[in-house]
Amino acid sequence: MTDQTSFIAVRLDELLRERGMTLTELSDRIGLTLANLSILKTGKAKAIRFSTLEAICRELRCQPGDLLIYSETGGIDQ
Amino acid sequence: MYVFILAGLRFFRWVNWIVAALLTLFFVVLLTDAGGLGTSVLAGVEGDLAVRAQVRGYLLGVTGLVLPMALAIDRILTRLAGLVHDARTGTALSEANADRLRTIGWCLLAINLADLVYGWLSVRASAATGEYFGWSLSLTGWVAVPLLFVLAHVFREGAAMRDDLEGTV
Repeated sequence: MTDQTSFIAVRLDELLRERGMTLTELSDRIGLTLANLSILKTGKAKAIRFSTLEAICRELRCQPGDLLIYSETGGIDQ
Repeated sequence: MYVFILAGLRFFRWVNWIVAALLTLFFVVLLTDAGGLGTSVLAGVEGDLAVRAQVRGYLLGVTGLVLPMALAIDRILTRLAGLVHDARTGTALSEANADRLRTIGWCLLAINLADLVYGWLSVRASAATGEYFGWSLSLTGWVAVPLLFVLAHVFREGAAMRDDLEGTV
């Protein structure tokens, strides 16, 4: 596959820091593997399931818009 | 099961090259013996010079077809081995396998075209000598070619879907 630049940035790191939660802890709470959460955190994910988004928002008490932002300057290479 | 298929494909690769070498040797012997025993066998003892020239043309043509055919068959067998290997490891839906299927399609097309050339040579030689040189049109290969190209496209689509799925969290 060719490399694609995504303009969607994932703010999982910031949200975790604000909530004082670790990635491992979130992984345990939402039942997603640490590897998959790392993929999401580093912006390497190509898509996110509604169920994953729902679980993250529930545990971090945030809105989808807090987690995902559109940023043309902060593009992430996939 | 896959191990046996892979072993079989390796075996057929050897058989392909051995048969190609033997056929080339056979036709070269007949060609160097042009006008002698070899062409007499094919053109008939009573065959005149024009008939013998036709038979020589037939032999030259067939000799020229052996190596390209063997190369095409070898490419098909190696690509098939790659497909079987990936099927064994559970990674059949990939861009590499789509390329392999497309290569097999092109090789099969080349073989079909070579078969047509052989048919044309045979018909000419048969008409000139009155002997049946043996050829009949096979449609199976022609049906398989578009099928392989379509399958290659399906594999490419499948690989893209698999890629997307792997990046979904």
